[in-house]
Amino acid sequence: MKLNKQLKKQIDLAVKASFNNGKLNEKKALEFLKLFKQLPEAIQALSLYKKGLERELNKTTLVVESATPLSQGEIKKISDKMKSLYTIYSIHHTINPGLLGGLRVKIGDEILDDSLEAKIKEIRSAIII
Amino acid sequence: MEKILSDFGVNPLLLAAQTANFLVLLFILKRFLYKPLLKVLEERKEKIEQSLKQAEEIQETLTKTEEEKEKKLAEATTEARGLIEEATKNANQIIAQAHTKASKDIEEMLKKGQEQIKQERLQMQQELRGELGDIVALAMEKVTGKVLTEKDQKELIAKTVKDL
Repeated sequence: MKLNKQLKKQIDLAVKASFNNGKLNEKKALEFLKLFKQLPEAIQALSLYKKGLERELNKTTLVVESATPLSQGEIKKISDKMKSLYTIYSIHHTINPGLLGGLRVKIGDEILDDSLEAKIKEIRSAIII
Repeated sequence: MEKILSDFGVNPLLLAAQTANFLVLLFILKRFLYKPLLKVLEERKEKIEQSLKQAEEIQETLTKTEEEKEKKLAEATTEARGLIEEATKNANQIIAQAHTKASKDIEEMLKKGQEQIKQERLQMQQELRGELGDIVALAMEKVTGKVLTEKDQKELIAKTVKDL
């Protein structure tokens, strides 16, 4: 079943209402979940709401990727630097050996890639063009 | 008078009879011979005259026809010459056009060929670059993992943190 425009708009509003200054209001989110559960298009509505929440959460979640493990001090340094530029409520650190070296930092749609993988890709692109 | 006639041996009665005979004969000849003969001659003369006239007319017509024929022949010759000249001119024009078109076609074909060669060369260069890029990237990825020490990794991270 396809969602109508009106419902999509309401889900968008519910997503925005689920956050207070960029922070997730869990109580409100639960209320909206219960509400959408009762709809005939519950699966689609809940899926859309979840995607909206993830999108909004990503805006305030700092994802740090590195080729080798980072110390707590290094993660703190990164988070402090990023907090001066963005609103950050949570931090995720993942190890990705594919980066070969350096860091890749993501927040929302922003990506700051200073990894060796990205540099090699740049060199490859420079050769191809 | 009678003496003179008698001296010459002329019998007046005989003379009168002979004169009368002569006149009768003259009348008969005139009536039955000269007149039809003259008529036939006259008719023949007329016929000859008519024939001559017709011959003249025929001659005249013949001359006229001949003149007309000459005139038409001259006209036809002039016209034929004109047609030949025009045909030659047209043929020359067609040949010239064909030459121009052929030259243009050849030029276009050459241009297309050159363009195609250029495109193919560019494509080959692009493919070569792509392959070279892949080889370089792969080599760098392989080498980097082995060459970088833990210290290098830390330094890289520190530099990135500094640049944030």
